[in-house]
Amino acid sequence: MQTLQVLVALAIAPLFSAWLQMLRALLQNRRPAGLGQGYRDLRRLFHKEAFLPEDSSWLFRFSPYILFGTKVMASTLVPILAVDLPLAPAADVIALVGLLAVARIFQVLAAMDTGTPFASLGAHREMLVSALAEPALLSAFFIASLLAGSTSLSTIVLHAQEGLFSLHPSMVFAAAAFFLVLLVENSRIPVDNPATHLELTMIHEAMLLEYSGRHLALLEWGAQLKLLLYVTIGIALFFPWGIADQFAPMAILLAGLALLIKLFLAAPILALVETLLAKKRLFRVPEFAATAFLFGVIGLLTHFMLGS
Amino acid sequence: MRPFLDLFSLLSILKFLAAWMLLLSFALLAQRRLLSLIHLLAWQGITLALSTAMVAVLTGDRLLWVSATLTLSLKGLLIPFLLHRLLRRLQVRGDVEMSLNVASVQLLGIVLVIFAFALAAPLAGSLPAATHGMLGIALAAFLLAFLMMITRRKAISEVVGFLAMDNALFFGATSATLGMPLIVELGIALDALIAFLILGVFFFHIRESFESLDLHWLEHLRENQ
Amino acid sequence: MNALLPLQMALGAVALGPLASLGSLLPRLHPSWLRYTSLMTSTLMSLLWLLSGALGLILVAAPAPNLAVGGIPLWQFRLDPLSAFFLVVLGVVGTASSLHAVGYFRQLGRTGLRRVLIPLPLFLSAMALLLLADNAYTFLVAWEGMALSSSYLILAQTQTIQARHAAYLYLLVAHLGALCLLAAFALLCHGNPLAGNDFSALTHEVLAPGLAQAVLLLTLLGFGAKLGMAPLHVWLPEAHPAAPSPVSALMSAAMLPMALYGLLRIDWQILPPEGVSWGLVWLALGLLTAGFGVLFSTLQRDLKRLLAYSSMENMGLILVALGLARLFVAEGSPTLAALALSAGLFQTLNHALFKGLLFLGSGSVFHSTGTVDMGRLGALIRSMPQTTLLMLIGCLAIAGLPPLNGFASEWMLLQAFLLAPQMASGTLQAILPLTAAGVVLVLALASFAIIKAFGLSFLGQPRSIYTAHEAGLWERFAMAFLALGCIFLGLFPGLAIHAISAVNVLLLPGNSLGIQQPWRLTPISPERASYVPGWFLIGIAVAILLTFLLVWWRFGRPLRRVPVWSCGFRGARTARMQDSPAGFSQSLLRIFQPIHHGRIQPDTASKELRVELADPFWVGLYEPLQRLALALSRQALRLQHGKISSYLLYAFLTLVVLLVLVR
Repeated sequence: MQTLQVLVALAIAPLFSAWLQMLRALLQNRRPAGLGQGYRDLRRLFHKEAFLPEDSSWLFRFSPYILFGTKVMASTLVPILAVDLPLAPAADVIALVGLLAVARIFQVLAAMDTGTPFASLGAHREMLVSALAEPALLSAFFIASLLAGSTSLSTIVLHAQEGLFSLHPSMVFAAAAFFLVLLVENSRIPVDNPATHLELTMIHEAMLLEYSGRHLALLEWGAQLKLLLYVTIGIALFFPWGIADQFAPMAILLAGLALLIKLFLAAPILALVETLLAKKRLFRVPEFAATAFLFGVIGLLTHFMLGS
Repeated sequence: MRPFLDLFSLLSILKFLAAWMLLLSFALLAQRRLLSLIHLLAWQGITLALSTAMVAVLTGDRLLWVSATLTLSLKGLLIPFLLHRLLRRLQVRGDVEMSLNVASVQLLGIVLVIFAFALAAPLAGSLPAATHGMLGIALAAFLLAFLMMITRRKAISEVVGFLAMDNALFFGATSATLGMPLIVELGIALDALIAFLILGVFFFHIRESFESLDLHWLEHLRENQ
Repeated sequence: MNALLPLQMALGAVALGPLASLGSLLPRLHPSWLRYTSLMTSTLMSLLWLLSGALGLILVAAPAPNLAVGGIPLWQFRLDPLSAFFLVVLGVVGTASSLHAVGYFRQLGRTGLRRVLIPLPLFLSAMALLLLADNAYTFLVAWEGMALSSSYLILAQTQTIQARHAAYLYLLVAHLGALCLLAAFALLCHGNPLAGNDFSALTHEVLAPGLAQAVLLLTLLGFGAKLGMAPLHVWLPEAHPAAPSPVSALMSAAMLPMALYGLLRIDWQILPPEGVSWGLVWLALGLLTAGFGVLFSTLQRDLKRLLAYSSMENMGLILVALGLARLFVAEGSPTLAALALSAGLFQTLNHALFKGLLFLGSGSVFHSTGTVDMGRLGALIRSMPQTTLLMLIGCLAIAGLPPLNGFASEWMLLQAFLLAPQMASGTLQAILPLTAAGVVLVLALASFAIIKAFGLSFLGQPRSIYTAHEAGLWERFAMAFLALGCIFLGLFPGLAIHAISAVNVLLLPGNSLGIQQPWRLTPISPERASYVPGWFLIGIAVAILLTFLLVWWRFGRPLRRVPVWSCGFRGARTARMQDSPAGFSQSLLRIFQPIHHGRIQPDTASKELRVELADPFWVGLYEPLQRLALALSRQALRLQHGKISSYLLYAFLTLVVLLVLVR
């Protein structure tokens, strides 16, 4: 069951990203590359030769594996298809955030290892942006866990399925905060541009500049997986209908179907945001993160002022 | 059918509107552009009208429908429209400068909200149980609008802040006590309109004298004497 | 087993300290013998404290027996779980620092060695004595001994003007703090701190409300000065970098927690429990200290200063946890108080492990390269790979990453915050989750600071020319000891929590968290939240290994080393094109400009941009005080004009006034 979920997540991640790309292309009057593009890119990268920069250390070489491994581990903890998976008690939301931080920090360290100007530029921007986004992310999670009385993702999802609390006012704010953080953490448009290597815009891409071949493939796949994880966490917290609460084949199948539909619908929102918004200056990003935090705070305050 | 009722129960919509009101107040505090400020004010007016309508459904009071319609037309449409026209005729452009930076103002706003909450908590005892907290939100919105007036320098944003204060008071009166006599409401609405008109005239005077709507020019009046 | 045994063992170790200092004075001993014997004695002492502390946590049932020595003044000692826990902290750091010092001081001659080896064992002994003290007299003697010996140690290595200034400032603040403590004890003991009442006799004695508040304020000043609590922190970022690294490790990881011990002992245990107010005061001051410390730590250029500010941040976080625990006590939920208290104490232990490790590592870096200026370092991962690995573990632990120990205590602290809605007071309910968000921001910035430190010093290209070599065996051994501690406590946090439960029982009469399994944390209930770091490690390891093997099997081709691509830049790539310390945190400098008023100044000599930072507390609080003091002294100077007869007149007037008053 656990393995199934991981495999599903790994398989869907490139598809979801390709679907997102396709929608963006359509919205911008370009000809889309098709749904298989994600897989084709990965296969091409895996088959290419990988280079190591002259004086990089083991950190540079093994970071792609560490990154990918932690993200795979994270995908075992999120209730993507079903709740109460065997590994679920190992971690709650806070630990999940910690786990994703491990991946981020190794990425930053690997970038600094090369000693190139662009990579360290990306590294410190990444640390800055994530440090500012973290309080907003956790306050969104706090709201959910205050309502459910638990920080365990499974319990939150079960609670959400019962009470339909996602229309509670404070939950709406939590969702808004979470959405903004999702944009920040996955280097989407108002903060970073995933599609360019232009010096002034790049955060995430700058850190990958020196990678090639199978290492780059793992990093790209990892980034797609991270985006998928964030979207599925969002789904689990705010639109949990359909996630299986038992391990019957039928329920899992239904959950898979529900997941696909929800992902299918989530992508247009992301694509629309990315098409409509312009990339912000780096020094406007703190305000963006502050807005996300403000949503979280208002959510918390309304939770206490208006009662649950 | 229980979950359905839960989902759409009027009270939770009212609560949601209250939270939305608070968010709009924060947005007013953070917004730099005059045009967006006016749009936000319009949204606040519409929210106010909606919440009055919700209270009308809740209590079954006919007169509240009238007041909701009035609010919608006056605060949601007419005043923003007038402000908009004023903006065009005065040809004010560009950003609103602020005396403090956005993040600290927002932080101060959060502190104010907690303060308002602490103030309103003991008062809420005399209100219907369902609307506990509404008073706190109204008070918070009021204080936030006040803070906005303090931190701005352009005359138009001062007026927006004033109208937002008015909205907050209105919201407190209708939502927390579930209804308000129409006469009082009409009086307040007229007051707001007159204040708005006077300020509109005032703007033209300021601009004729100083070629700008920036209020810090007013400081020079004292020195010139 | 004799209930006094741990106490006797610890006291025996305390007595070894002065002996070791005296031993360093022996004239004909070869320097290396001197070094080995003295530092091995220190190690032995620390190990004994570690052992007696552990025994104390396991064995001693409350109330712990008391041991009295001497007549008047009376020395009284006791080893209860609270002192036992801090003895463990001291033992761990003491062992590692002493072992590291064996390698660190290996180049010193006899005179240089004596400068270190005379005060060092005394410093250790004074700290242990402080923990074992059971009356005001013993406590104050130990407190002063600790301050004096450590100020000598600050000057042990470098006697530059800055170091002297740092030591002087430290001594000044420490003495002001000690004065406050003396006054506090005098109030507690009804005017006679020598009366010989042991602490249990003072406990919960009825004090006039005003008196209790005064004691609270005085202890807050006294211990806060040692803790580095803002605004009394000014000595901390000066003193820690000036001291030799093993001493910095001791000061930061063992001496700062002594102030926490004092707060818990006096304010929590002895003073009557009353009022919600001071829990909130601790919380607010802790958050202020943590936020200030972390912000300044991100902006530093000197590795040790960065670590010093980070210590300040950690102490602030612990104070937040203790304040939260106190709030829970005042709200009548002791189980939740136990959670917050455990989080705070666990964080103290963790801080001792990782901050000790990082300071020792910075010492090895200094030894190897001759500098701790991050603008001169870089690429140490190639010349000192093992030190780098150990430092990496320390950095990941302090950055709060699972499955290491720093994360476990931070996780518990956040859990405690999330239980705040169970409080009765509405305002507290609303404030506390926001405080939690503040704590999260502090933690995130802390990982920014530490990644800056690690990335700039150990990765990339060397920023200046030096020949670095791997740290010595002793140094690596000491660091490995602490690094293993970080991993062990990270994987088995339940063990630490179990040990801390004895302290909980003591401070929250009869209350503690539920039984924890060693490998798992479930503070309240499994449905509420649980955290199993071992599964994390296994899961990540399996995932990484599988990925690696699969990728190797399917796509494995030999890797090729090539020049860096760097966006196709073809010019000569120099180390100066990397981020400098100022560049790395430039965005933070700009964002938080309104708070710290730091600015970037060009340094024409080295063609670099430097960050100029002034401590706002120094500018806003201390300098006006200084000016006031100077102005007053200038007034006083008027009285002094050198005429003997007027001096006699002063004496005469004083006598008359006194006679009138005493009459």
